[in-house]
Amino acid sequence: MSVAITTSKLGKKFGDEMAVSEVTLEVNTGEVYGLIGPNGAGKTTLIRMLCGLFIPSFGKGTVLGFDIERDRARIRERIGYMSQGFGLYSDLSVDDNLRFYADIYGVRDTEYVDSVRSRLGLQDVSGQVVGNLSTGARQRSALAAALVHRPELVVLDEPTSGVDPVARDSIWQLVGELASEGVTALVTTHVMPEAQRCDRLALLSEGRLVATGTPEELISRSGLTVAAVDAAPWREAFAILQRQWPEAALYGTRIHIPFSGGGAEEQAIREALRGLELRSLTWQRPTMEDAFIALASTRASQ
Amino acid sequence: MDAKDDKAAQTNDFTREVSTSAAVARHASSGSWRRLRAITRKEFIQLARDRRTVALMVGMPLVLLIIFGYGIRLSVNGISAELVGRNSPTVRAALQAQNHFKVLVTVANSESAARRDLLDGRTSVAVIIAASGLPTSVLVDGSNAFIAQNALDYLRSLTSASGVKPVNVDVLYNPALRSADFMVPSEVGMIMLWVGTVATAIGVVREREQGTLEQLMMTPIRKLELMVGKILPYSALTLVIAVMITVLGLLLFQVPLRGSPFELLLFAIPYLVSALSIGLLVSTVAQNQRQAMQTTTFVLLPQILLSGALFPLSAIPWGIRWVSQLLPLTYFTPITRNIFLKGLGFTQLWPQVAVLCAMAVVFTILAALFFKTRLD
Repeated sequence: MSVAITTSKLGKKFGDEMAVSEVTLEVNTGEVYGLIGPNGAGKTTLIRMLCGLFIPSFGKGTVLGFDIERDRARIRERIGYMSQGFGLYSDLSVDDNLRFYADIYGVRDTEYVDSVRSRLGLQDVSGQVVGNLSTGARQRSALAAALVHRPELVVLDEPTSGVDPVARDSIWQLVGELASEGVTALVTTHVMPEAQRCDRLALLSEGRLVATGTPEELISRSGLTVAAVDAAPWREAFAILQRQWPEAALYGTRIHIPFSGGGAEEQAIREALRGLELRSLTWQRPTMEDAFIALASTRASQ
Repeated sequence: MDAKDDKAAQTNDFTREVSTSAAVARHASSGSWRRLRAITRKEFIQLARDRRTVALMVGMPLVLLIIFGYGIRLSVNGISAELVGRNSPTVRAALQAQNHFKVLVTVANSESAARRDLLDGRTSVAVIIAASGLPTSVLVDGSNAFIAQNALDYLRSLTSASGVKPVNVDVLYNPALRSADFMVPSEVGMIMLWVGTVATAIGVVREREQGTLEQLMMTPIRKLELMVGKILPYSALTLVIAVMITVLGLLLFQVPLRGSPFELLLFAIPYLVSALSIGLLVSTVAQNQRQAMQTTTFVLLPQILLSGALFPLSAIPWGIRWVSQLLPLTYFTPITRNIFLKGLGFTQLWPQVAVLCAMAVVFTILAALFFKTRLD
């Protein structure tokens, strides 16, 4: 299996601020690799180093076999990049934008550009000025622009932020299809259900790499079990439980409390809710979000 | 990854590298042209859609042309004057002779009455006439230095009124001292500076602000291609506006163009490059369009005030005269004025042209040094 991205103790300092420190990871070719972490965790900084927009302060890295410091030009020819701040010209139409990027990359195959456009369902809006499109259509156009030159690697920085579920699904579906065609995808997100669509994940917190693995591995590694409580009135129940277990969280009107280890706390929960109507108390596997919060906070407290 | 895989990967990398560098060599120049064309084309589309900016870029020079051409007169006529003590038809006729003065109050009875009239603003000049009928002294309201200076100049040539042999004053090149003849040529330089600097700075900063610059930096586009591609459309716009100002100056104000228009256009190129590079430099320090506008004003105002385009260089104190020497407009103003009014050409103007060429090179190098295709 060949490797698309490697980093070795890669780090970036802004003044005294350590934005990313000692990140060592490997992304395989054809893999959908997710960088997850709270805002400010260093995901974008890491991506910008890989793409040559930032010079690393420490460490090394390669992208598609090229050194991220010396071979920036070669890397740029081969990757498609979708920045977090929307990168298309909002006063140009979708087609003008696509043509511009195709020209910049020297793409003469207009049929391919057309196929990218229709794969992302942009035919109907192709003449419209990008600034007037819905967020979903805008993000799909940005993705199309990042794909016009058949990149070997696509780097997507929060591609689905502010996007409706349908458009979000079409973006992820395309990423999956690209991966099956051998295109590696490096995607950042802090939406956990999306993270579960990645082959592998790297969890960043405060600039450090906290954990890597498949979504399932990260969930098991969190060592959590979650108590799902359905009680009435739920507001009161939540207030009581949160006082005792601050990590308790609301999912609709149900309350999830993650515990490391077994179900020993069941009695304590029943005790706490005495006087309220406890409709059900079940034990669940943690969601990606539960695991994420647990893993991020263990690291932060260390 | 085992050793065999590793080796295979290396070979793979190697062959890819060789084929790439060959491909790069083959397509380097055509690639540059293609990317340059793409950027320029995109800028033109954006410019065509951005009617407000174009209106501002074309409208502001027009307004300035009209204000400078019609409104602001560096020569003032019809300065109000009064005679004090007694009427003197000779003095009065002399004052009125060239339309310089308008004798409003024929005779004020005393000097103190004249001073009151000066204070009230009823007159700007009071000529005190002795019993002999000869003027003895003149009072001038200095609160408007501009009018006062003009009045003094006229009065000096007016000694004939007192019966002294007239001093003959000949004004060359702009005999009527028409302000349009003086202003329009220097306005060409000021407008080019304004349009070139503002348009370039805004054009780059807007991309930074909107995040499209980051996206562009991620493409194979090279720094020079990006710089030139951004600059070309604005150079075209600036030149069109400069030609427009010149033609309107010729038509509306009958400003003479005695020298060669071709030379004027040719010498404008190094000047234009300097102005656009200053715009690029501004764009490297400004994070958003507001900052870009403020920085441009900060950079342009001293240029316009200290370059001799509005006020003569000799009026600029020695302490800050050296600043003038660093400004492109200081060298372009004599070029436009001398080509328009005196019909001079390269033989006489080459020192200024040479300095502008040197400045164009230096400013471009500075812009290239500070213009980054990285974010940190």
